[in-house]
Amino acid sequence: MRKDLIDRIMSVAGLVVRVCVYVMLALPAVIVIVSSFAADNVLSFPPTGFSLRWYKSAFANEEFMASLWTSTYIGILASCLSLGIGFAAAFAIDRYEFPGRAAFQALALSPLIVPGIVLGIGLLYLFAWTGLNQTLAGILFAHVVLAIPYVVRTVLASLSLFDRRLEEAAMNLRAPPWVVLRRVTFPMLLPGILSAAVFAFVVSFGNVTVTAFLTYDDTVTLPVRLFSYVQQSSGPFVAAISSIMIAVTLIVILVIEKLIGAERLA
Amino acid sequence: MKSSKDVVVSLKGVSKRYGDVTAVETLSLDVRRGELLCLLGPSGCGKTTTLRMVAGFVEPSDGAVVIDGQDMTREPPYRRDTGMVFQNYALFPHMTTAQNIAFGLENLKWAKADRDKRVLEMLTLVEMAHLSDRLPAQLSGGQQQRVALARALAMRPAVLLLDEPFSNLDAQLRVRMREEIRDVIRRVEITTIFVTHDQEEALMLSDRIGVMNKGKLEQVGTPADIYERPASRFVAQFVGWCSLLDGTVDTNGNFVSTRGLAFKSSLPPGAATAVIRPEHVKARDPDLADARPTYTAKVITSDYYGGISRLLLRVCGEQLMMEGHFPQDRRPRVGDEVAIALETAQIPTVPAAPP
Amino acid sequence: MQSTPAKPGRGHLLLLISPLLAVLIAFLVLPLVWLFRASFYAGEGFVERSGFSLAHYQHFLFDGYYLSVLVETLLYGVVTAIVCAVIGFPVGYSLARLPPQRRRWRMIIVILPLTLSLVVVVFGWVAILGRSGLVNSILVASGLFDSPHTLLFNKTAVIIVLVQQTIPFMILSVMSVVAQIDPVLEHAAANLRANRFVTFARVIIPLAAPGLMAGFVLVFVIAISAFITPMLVGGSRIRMIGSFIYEQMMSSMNWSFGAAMAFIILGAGLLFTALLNALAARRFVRR
Repeated sequence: MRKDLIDRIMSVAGLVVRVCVYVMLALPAVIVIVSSFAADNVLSFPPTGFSLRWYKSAFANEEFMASLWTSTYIGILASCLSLGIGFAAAFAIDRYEFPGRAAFQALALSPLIVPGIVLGIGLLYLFAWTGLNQTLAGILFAHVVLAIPYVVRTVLASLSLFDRRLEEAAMNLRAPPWVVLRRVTFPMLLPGILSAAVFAFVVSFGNVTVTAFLTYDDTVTLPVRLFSYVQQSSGPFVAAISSIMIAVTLIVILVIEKLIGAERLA
Repeated sequence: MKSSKDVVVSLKGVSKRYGDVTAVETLSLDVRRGELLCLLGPSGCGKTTTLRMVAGFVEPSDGAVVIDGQDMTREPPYRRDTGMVFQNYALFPHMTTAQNIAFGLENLKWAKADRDKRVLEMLTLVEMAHLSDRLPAQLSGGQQQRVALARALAMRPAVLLLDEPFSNLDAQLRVRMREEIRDVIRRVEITTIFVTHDQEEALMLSDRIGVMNKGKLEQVGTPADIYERPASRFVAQFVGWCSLLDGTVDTNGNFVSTRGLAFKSSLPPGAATAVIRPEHVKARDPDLADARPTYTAKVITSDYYGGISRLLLRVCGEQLMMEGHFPQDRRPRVGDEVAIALETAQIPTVPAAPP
Repeated sequence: MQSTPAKPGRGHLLLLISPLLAVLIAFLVLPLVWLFRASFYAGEGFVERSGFSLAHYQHFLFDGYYLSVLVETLLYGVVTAIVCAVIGFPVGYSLARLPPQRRRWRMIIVILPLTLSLVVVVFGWVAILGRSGLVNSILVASGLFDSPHTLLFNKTAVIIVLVQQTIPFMILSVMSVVAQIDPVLEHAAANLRANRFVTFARVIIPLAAPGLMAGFVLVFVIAISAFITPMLVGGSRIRMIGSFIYEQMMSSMNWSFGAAMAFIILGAGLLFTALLNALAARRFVRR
């Protein structure tokens, strides 16, 4: 069908802009991964040669591997904690009427709108005074705070899609409350719960804006260690470490995507 | 001989295919100036697709769409001289009634003074002048429809297109809006194509009806043509109630159905399918003489609808419906026998079903 | 909510909500309140935690240099938000109108950068814009450049990275609002002689404005609080409040001053948001 000239220009321009945006969004991760296979020690493009030496170097580096381990177990701990706290809160919001419910929900989601730097220095301050400074617990609680909104949002969405009539049907079929929970509610909410856990892990694992203020000599999470390192040097070694981080995140994200679809992530 | 100026919209062999599915098949139709033509058919028959091809939202796979003598097949919707009223009215929620109506005129680059005058004209036409500053959310369904109509008509389009305009309204409102819209259309004297699945609506509003089924146009004609002289089994069954009796006419001019209902017919000998509607079946006083073919029928079901009662009768092995006014106490009951006569002169026939 | 929420179990309810209340009050509300208090301490707030003084705020607001950094930071925020709005809108619009199966991979590309660690993404840009990085290699190979230029450590690089960091929020905001605009309205506009351009200008964008605004505000707030990006991509010549705050907290150990700066930038963000909302309200009220 014929179109006005301006429409055709808009069509083409729109396509160009969209392609540029998608490329821009995907490019950093792609370049990081590609650069990690460089043979020599320069971040050049195209990379000269193909080598796994930087990965070998990364895995051999004690400090970075310690950080990887630290980030992973903080991530798992934070994920479990925030899942427990967040699920309970979401359940309360969805199933109970109580005064201040709206405010409670707003509080639960509020860490999303607090700039990382403000929360970071606030916690630094609090921890310094309460002695939680330079402890694992401090970082853990910070990550739990960051992860809770994601858990609450995901679980709430899951709960809102859940048809309560299934529970009613179960009760009509003589199932007492705990059996209903165990055999009907929980299994159906499981995908949502798992996604929430995965979100929480990813948020904790990758966080740098808040954690940058909270780490200390012995316990440095991987992103923060990377941050300090990059300020001094950048090369394929950094790319290798970054790629390992991307791999961990990607695997974990693709798991959610399979479970609930990319739509629901938004 | 009609000059081409009398035809406002001409569809020439228009088809639309989506992959393997044919939505509209080689449809040719001329819409005459000033007429109100209805495209009638069940869901999925292609009537909405056809309307959208006239509007320009769908590009035909084959064929041409000619509006006012010009081939518009490849033109985008905003270059076509059509005004459309959508099923859910599609009023712009962020614009007032007046702004909605003015929108088309602004795009057509009318001068402000002319626009304002025209908007007022249209508002008065649909009796919405006092609501010109309202937003669509503040209007009722019927009011929104009037604004949508005014908006489409403001541009003085060559043809008005209505896409199932009454299906969103409840029954009572529907009847009232039908009449209102018909009055407006007649007053403005605009050529109109409208799409509906409601045959009552089609019969009551249209100058001509195009009955569609599975992408094909089965018959085009006046409401009387469609109802009294259906061209096919589908048209006969879709518009109004009927019993279809397959049978043959012999050399003596007797029609005999396969199950044995017989009457005299003026049709040439051969296969025929009779279309018997309730008005062809009349109750009679068995004691009086009757020139029409008479039968004794057995009542199978008997339903009271107030003003009329509907009886399903078995006559010579066939089922026929009769409508009549019987006070409740004198309504024939199931199992009763009634004397009836057939108005055979009025009974149309359609081509026999393919074997 | 479907059937009536449960009445019994007041104790249950308490059990469910108290962990979140405890954690967030202790580790979100309290720190912020304390920080606010700290910004009024007489001293640096590290050892001395007493007194009430506006000294830190005065130190910042009455200093031309610091004020210029504040203004620059706000400008970065505005520019980032505008760029995100302009190039993010087409993406958000197209995502809203695509059928679900075509949308899947595009959504993954939009959301993925949000899930990766910021430091990884920013490092990626260092690799792209570095002297032997992707852009330089292409431009040199194609002959447009004679030799590699320094593309990093300038304003443009910072804006580019800030845009990439924040545009997913704009895209998602636009997408969610456009999804609520009935596509039939676009057909109606076309029938009323509006070509695509007019349809966008007079129907789609006005109706999408709330989403654009929400995205604008979100992008702005994130951009003005950034510190990782300006530090890694901007180098020493780029000054944003965020990097100053980091410096104050981690090296200079003048925590109260850092706190004061944090609340100044928060205040600026709030003010800007309020201004934008007021502007929007005026535009929509006018007939």
